[in-house]
Amino acid sequence: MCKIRIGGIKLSDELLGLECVEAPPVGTRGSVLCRVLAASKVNMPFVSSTYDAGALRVSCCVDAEDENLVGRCIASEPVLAGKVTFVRGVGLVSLFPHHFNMEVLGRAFSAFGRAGLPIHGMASSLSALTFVTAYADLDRAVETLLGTFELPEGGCPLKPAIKVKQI
Amino acid sequence: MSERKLVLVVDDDPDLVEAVSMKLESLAFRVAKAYDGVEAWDRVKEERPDLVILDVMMPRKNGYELCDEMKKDPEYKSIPIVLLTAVADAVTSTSYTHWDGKTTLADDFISKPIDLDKLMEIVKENLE
Repeated sequence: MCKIRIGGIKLSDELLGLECVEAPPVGTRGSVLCRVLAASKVNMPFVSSTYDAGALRVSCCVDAEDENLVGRCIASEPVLAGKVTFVRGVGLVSLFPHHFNMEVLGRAFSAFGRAGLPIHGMASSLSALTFVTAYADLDRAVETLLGTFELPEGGCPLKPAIKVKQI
Repeated sequence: MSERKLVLVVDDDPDLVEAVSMKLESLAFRVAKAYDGVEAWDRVKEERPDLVILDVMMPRKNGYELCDEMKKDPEYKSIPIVLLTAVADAVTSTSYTHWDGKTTLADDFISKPIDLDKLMEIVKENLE
């Protein structure tokens, strides 16, 4: 099978995953989580929400170093306390551009499945498909994806070179 | 009819590259894309764009390095460069600031988050 040409693969630093599920009737838990993180200037490189059978699930990722700050933010909001699950040691793998081609999505899922890589979350954006997987498996994820996708000549997966924090 | 100008958009955020590219294409510009400084230098040599929109904070080779190299190269120094800079007041633990931007020979800059309409005005001004 021919490889699909893409523009690049981008990786994240180690992140902390946050999972917040609110069973029906859905209130404001998801939006409160986003609000308190934003108020504390916690960057969220990934966020997605799913509304299924009346329940709302908000998943996001923050810098692993922000775990204590995030813990304090959550504890300070009664609607969140004890309702947010931490998933430690996750990382992001983004493929781009997807050109709105469903084959890119299908073959990426297939590659992750064949390699037995966990998928904690997934989201698409204007240009990229992003998978949340185990940080320890990022190199293996890249190796697996490069069996299916082809980067431009001289291209290599982009790893974060700097870290930006808001003050 | 004048030839459509080629703009190279360089940023390691693929969504920003796509958004800027779509806006440029809607204004009849041709667009080339690159996602880091090394790839951008290759594109500059291969395609010789009429203007480069260049992010500062990128892996492999940052925007200031690429800007410096282009402006020191007689073959490419005439290509206008618009830097995409972060807002210095909101950025810590990095050496990238507006001040660094002013010490480069970039032709113009715009702060992130970018206003696409303003960026298009800057592009047009620098292509005149």
